Amino acid sequence: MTRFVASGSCPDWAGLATARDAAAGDPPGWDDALRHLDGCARCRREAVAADPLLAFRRLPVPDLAADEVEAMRLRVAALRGAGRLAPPQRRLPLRQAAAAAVVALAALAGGGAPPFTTEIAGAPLAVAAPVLDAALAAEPVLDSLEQPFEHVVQWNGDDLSVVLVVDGRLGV
Amino acid sequence: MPRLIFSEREERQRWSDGSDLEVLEGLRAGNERALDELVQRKTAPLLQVAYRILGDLEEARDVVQVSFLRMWEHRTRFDARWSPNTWIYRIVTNLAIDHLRSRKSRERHQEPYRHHLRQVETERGFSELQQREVEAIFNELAGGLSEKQRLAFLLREVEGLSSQEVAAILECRESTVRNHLFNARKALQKEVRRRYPEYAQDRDDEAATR
Repeated sequence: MTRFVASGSCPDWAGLATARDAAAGDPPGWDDALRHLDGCARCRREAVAADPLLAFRRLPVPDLAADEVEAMRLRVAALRGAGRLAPPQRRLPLRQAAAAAVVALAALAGGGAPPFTTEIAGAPLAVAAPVLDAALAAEPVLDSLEQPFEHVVQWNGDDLSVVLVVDGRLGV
Repeated sequence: MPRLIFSEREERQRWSDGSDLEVLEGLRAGNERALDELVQRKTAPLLQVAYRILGDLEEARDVVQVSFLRMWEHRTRFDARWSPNTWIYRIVTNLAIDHLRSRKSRERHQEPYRHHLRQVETERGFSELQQREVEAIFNELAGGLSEKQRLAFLLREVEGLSSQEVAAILECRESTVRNHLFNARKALQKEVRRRYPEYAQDRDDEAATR
């Protein structure tokens, strides 16, 4: 069976191209020849001369922006979020949940009004320490908030569970 | 002692270490971070395929975005016996073809290429063209193929997938893929000869001297 290997190590591109045009399916040695082509600059001219369509092999990838993947992730997340119904019982607004965590920590540490609650712009003070009921605190509370956090630490006490959210984006 | 119950970094690392199949199984189980990982891995190659089909990067972005959403929505349909790429590429190629069908002004996209190529072809041989120019020629010529021919040629000849993989993506037999490919090659060669006779001449001359 002809393998279309010319003298030296480079394939016989003219022979391969002719054989390939003759029938549907690849001639023997075609895949090997293509692998060789990918690593042999010398063969490219000869291969394309034999079969101009080989110029289309390994076309350049489109110019992707540096943040292409992250932009895609955000677009997909936005699309997905738009089509999803919010589970009614398990959703806390982000700021409210963050405020609750901070307030709960402060209450655990010393009781009384936490000194920094006023720094949380827009967070209602009504969300005082007991806002995290047992059902919520027993599991990762914030995983239903549709926003991944860097770290979530949970500390379950007798009367109070503390959830600490560590994430620079929270701004608290 | 406080207990670390969730770490975003560790979770991401876990998925990034997994195989495509593991990520798709995570997706099937409804894990949103598996979807993130899928987006991370497949955005570039899928954009490439969609771009080859559509010839327009912005439209390719739209198609790939919807494809990821479709993968999420249909995640329970993924069967672990399939090759992950087969399932993913099938979704993208189907959506890209749908998009192509709905596009009313294909000629509008081709005209700038024609103008550009008329300038290019007088200057250099085919094998010396810059890759972007070859890409423009491909976009122009492939527009004349049927959908199946175009997809078979694109996936097999341009992207380098096996005939078996292409058959699985197009949901047809390998022999059908070979026929589509054969006809696509004939049609493309004919167009190359008609539109760029100097390139075909190279080959004809070689054949004559053998």
